[in-house]
Amino acid sequence: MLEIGKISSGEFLILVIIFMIGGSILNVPAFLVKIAKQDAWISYMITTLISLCFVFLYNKLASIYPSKTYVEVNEKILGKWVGKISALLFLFYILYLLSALLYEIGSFSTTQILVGTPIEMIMVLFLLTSIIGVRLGLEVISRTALIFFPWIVFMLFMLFLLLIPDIKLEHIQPIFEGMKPIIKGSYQTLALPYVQLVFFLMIMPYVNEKDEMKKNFYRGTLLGGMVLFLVIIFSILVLGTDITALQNYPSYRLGKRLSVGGFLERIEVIVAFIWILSVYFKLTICYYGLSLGLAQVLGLKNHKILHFPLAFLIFAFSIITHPNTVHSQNFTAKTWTPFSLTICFLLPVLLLVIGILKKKRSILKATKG
Amino acid sequence: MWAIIGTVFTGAIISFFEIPQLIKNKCWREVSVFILLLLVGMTLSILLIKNVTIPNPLDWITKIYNPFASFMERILS
Repeated sequence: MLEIGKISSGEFLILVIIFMIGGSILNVPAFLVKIAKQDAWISYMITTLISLCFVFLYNKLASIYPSKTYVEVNEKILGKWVGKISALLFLFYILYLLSALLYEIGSFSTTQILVGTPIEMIMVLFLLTSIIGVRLGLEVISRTALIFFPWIVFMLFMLFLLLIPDIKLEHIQPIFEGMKPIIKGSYQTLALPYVQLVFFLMIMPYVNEKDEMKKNFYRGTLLGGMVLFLVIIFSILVLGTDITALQNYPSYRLGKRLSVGGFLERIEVIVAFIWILSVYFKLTICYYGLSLGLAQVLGLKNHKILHFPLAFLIFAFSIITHPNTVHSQNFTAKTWTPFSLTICFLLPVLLLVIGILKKKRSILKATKG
Repeated sequence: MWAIIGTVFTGAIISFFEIPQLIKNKCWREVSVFILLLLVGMTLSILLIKNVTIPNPLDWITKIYNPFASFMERILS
């Protein structure tokens, strides 16, 4: 056993919510509003409902071999070599996800908060903090998330509550202007972040109460989707579609509008706090899953030794893959959705079908013999 | 120059702390994977410091998915 820690289903719920918020809260509003204009919120609602089907798929896949991670399930169902290749594809996806997250938080900090600081420095500091968490194991990560979760909720609550006076209802009118932009928006946000939830197949075997965990997977997806939905609709209502689409980080701009009674101004850093915390936890559990999965593919006894070499790799990868923001935005707009759908939707469906057939055949054999 | 020295030094420190224990426990597979990954990561970092253009894997992925992406674009616009 590579991991002996166990987490409860409540901690799993919190991890799902934080995973949903982290990263996506930065770039989803601007990206979606650019496509669907003032109907972006309808578009995101549709995506959230569709995503429940994905969660259903992942839950089914998890129940074929409840005590095996996704990488092991791959090898068990597809055979040794094909399974290893498909697991490596999945791990490459996680590696890209990690480097993209690192790039996102780095570029956010260097353009908005710490202007002039080299992006590499922020990435290194973030990775080092993340390594501390990964080395301590899954239990420590999820319990730390448990400690910081109330803060995230509190700050989100503050953000939404203090923005209510600034709402202008005319910003979302006219509602429902044509079906095509809405569908296009839903298609483009399928992978931001819903199909990324396939990652949780890596840590599902270490959750204690399986039935409760499956319910919590649905709940976490809905709650995380609701937070993102609120962020999008508040961006539209407060800033208007034009400003939201122009900004790189509209929710940060949202924070600049906060003011308490005219004497407490410029408290946008509380928004940045939500991001830094949620991105940190997303980064850490993805990192953890990557090193665990790689150790399982290569058949190692211990995944702790992989942490530092992987840090080098992630760091180099995040600089190579995104030379600049335009490149990253183009990739997200064009290739990200089909790429994620292949790895996070087609492969699991294939695995599920073959796995069910294999199980049925083994049951048939057992009854005949 | 200093950045390269720093990178190599970091790699050396990491190996100094990790490898002796692995050799003591005779985990040869782990040692080889560790050294291979570290070398790949360090080579990439040093090439980046030297400003060598490294082929971007995302561009290959974009090329593979280009037909599908433009098909979806045509349908949805």
